[in-house]
Amino acid sequence: MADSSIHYDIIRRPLFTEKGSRQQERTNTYAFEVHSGANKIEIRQAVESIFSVKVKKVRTMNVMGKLKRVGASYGRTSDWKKALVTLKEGEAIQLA
Amino acid sequence: MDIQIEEIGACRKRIQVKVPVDRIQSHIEEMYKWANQNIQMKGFRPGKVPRNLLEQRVGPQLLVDAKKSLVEETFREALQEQTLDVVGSPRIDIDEEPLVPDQDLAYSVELDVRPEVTVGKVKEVEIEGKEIEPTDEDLENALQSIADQRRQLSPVEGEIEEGDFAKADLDYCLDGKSVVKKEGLQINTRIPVVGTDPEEFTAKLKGMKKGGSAKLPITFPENFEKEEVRGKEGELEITIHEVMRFQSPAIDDELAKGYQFDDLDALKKDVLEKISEQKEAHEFGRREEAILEALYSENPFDLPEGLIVEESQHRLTQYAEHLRSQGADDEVVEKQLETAKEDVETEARLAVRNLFLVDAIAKKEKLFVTESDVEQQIQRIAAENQATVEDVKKYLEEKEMLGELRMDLVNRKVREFLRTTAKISDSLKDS
Repeated sequence: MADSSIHYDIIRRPLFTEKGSRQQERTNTYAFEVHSGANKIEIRQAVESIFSVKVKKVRTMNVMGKLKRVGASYGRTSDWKKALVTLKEGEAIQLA
Repeated sequence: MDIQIEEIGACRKRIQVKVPVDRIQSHIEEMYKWANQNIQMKGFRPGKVPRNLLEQRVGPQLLVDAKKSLVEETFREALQEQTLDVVGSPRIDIDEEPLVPDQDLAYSVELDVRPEVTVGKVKEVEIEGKEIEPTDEDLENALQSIADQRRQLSPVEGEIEEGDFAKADLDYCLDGKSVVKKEGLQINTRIPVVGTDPEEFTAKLKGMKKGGSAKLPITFPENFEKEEVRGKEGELEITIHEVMRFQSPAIDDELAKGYQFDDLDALKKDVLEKISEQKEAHEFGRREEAILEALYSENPFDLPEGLIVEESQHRLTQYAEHLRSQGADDEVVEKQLETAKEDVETEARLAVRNLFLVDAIAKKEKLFVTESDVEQQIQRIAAENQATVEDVKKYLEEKEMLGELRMDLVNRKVREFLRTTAKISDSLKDS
């Protein structure tokens, strides 16, 4: 993980949601959409490198794409991976 | 809230308002609350967006808007508190910088206030009257303009005069040789052939007769049909075949019949009636203006200059729109506006003066507009425009023109009152 551009491939975008902002306030946890192949260690390193913070814990989950209908035909949006990154006390990320 | 009022001219005041920090902060809070409820942000239900996210996303613009709305709000409060009767649009001096939450906000507003108008005795104002009976000259002019509407282009004997048309052959020559010949063209003394000198063209044409011909120099234009001669100096030979002029028909029974009248006398009678109506309306208007002028001279008052400027600009904008609707380009419009500016300003000053004067007279003589007056006027407008009363009402309400309509009715009532109660001096009649 020496190349920092890889970090930007791993962290796709931060997620801004009601639930996410609640978790931010209560447990200092930030939600991101991440590369589907990335593991927790890679995500930890990417977040630490991009935002210059210390990560306490990373949890991940695979989110199934939604079923969409266009006229008579059905399709799915892509599956993706969500990472919930808890930072150490006193650390914070400025998003948006 | 600290409010200071300063007199800066006749009917003009400057209000300086200072809004304290706590009021600013509570206003900003309200703005964020409103924004939270009304901004659609993906991932959040309305009203559930965290404050820090809102501040990042809409904060800067919100503070600019907050400044405007706070100024409007506090200015309205200041006016109510000071019971100022404002006329025209106040000029608020404020920058586009965002509101600073922890600093007092200071701004100033310049505004015009209603002048104090005193009117003396408004009944039996003495003015001179002018004759409103149509004269023979009025009738003659009116009949001539009716005949002129039926004028036709017809051949005449004799010389070409200014403004006449002619049927002619044009022979374009270069080095004495004919290049192009055009036969049977209709030319006019005021519309020179392209490439000739306009003054020389008119001078040569005037005085020519049927069968006559004249030569004059020409520079072949860039769009001339023969490409090889374009831009070269040549000669144009004009041969006249017929002199033509617009001629009005004779004022007789035949003309009257053309306008669906039995004979000339019937037409004359109708024309006389119309002239009488016009002259009467004109004279009534003149008398009303004269009375208002007399009343103003007796008790002059200061006029709010800002309102006059606004009224002038409004009139100039309307005039410009009118010119554009008739196809005038920007340059012409600008020139016309420059010429009309002074007159428009004088008219605007008079209109503003009369507005306050009429209002004061209405109050003094208790001339009010009733609901039935408004109703009758709406019915009249509906009848004139072939619309239903409901449609007219709806239109006036939508355009917020009911106030204007009422003002117009008061104006008419007052003017009629002044005119009918005035003393018209017979000795000064024209007759």
